[in-house]
Amino acid sequence: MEPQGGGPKAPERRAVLGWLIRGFLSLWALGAAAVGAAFLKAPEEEKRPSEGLVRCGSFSALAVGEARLVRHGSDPLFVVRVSDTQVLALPAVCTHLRCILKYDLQTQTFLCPCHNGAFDRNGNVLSGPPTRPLAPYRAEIRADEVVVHT
Amino acid sequence: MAPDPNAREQSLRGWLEERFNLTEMFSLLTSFGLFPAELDARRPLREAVDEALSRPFPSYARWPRVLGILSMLLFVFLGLTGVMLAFYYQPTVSEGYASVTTIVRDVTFGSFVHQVHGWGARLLVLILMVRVWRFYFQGMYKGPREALWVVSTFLFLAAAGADFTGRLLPWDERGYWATIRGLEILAALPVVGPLFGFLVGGTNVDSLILIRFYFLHAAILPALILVLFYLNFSAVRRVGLSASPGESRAAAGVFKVHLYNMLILASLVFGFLVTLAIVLPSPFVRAADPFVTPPGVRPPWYLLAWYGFLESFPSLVPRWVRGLLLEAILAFCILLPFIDRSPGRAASERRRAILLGAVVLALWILFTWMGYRMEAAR
Repeated sequence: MEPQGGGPKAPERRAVLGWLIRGFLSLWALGAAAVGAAFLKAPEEEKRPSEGLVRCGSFSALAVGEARLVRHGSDPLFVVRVSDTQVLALPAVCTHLRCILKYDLQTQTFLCPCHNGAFDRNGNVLSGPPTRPLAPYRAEIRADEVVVHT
Repeated sequence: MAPDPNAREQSLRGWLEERFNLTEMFSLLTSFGLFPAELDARRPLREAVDEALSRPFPSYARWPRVLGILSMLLFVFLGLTGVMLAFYYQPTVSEGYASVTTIVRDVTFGSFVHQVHGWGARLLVLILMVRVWRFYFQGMYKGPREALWVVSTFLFLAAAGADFTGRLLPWDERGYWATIRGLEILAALPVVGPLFGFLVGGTNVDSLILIRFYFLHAAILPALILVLFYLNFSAVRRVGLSASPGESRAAAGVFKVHLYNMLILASLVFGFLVTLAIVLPSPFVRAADPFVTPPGVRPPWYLLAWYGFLESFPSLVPRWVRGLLLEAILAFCILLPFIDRSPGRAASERRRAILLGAVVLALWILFTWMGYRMEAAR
């Protein structure tokens, strides 16, 4: 009911209150949406220092130029022995469409079984559809064991 | 009154009728196109139905209007078989494959239900796609059916989404790698891709994405599809069935004929599905191995054209530009009734639109073939 004798200002006041109510309600909606979105965002997996290290087996068992596929989580990696003292660690996932690469010992290249992408031993693109090189991991040798920092 | 042989049943109905408005409850089916005649909610159920059955009604359970009701029937069927599968399925990385193996190998008729569910899904997506094409070529997106067009395109997208999320669930080799391929396609789309990735928890195919795909597949998308079907059929009831250009309205029969047509249709569909499931079972071969990509991995068939489109550009064009182009095409399709506002629906009045449609359809088939060939070469 419209109050009697409210004067010309009453509808205006009512409009302001109306906007305030809408404003507060939309704050609620915004807050609820933010809570929902924050909940949907999956938590980052917290890594203990040791979990970032992947033990990739014996170094001396690898011949020079040989590579080993290491099954680790959902992103497997290759360790390649490049010389008497050095190893390289590269992801085994093609940068084109995430197929798992194969190592060709003869040509010392990584080949993608899906679309014939090829990478050299250092992860650079040689041919095929991939545009980005394989980003190497840091690798070291600890008492004849290859350890990769992921 | 003469003694009625159905007295008992009738009395049960009478008992219920005093406590519920059965006619009103039954008329829910009206909103989903299964019993499309209006019912008078003030009258008892039997009376109201009898009255509706003798009303003149143009049947839409016949060509070319069959596609809407056909997809609804398929959706109901998929819901039933999906619930059956859910009794055994476990949505985890370690148990997913094993539980589907149990369904396929040990459960009585398990393999059959599994196959029929898969073929039903493929058929549903196909029919909803054909329906959109039919709407286009017959100019059925024009006023007052703009909303019907938009709802139909979203129905297709939602059904394709349900199919896509369902493929991962068995956690077999094909489903796993097809999902990775599909996710790479989605990731190329600006805005939509990251939003989707956020919703399903990243692009790494792991236990998080599996449980979210499962929930999307079994709860959210079916609910969305049901809402879309509701909107679809209420739009149809509001604006009426469209007569195809040149079709006379005199051929309309009574409503009973429509129901018989629908029964025939349902049995044909079911027979077709059973045949497909038995003659062409889709392989369920080996558990997914994230460390070996099997040869010949393809995204689902409805994404092949997108895949071919995205991959056929020279690598000079960045991926997000290709994705943006794809999004523009999709937006154009959805908003078509607001872009083409010419009123004429007859083929002679829209030669250019039909030519454009034919070209797009030809390109779609070409890109699908290219997407297919991309894996077949090796």
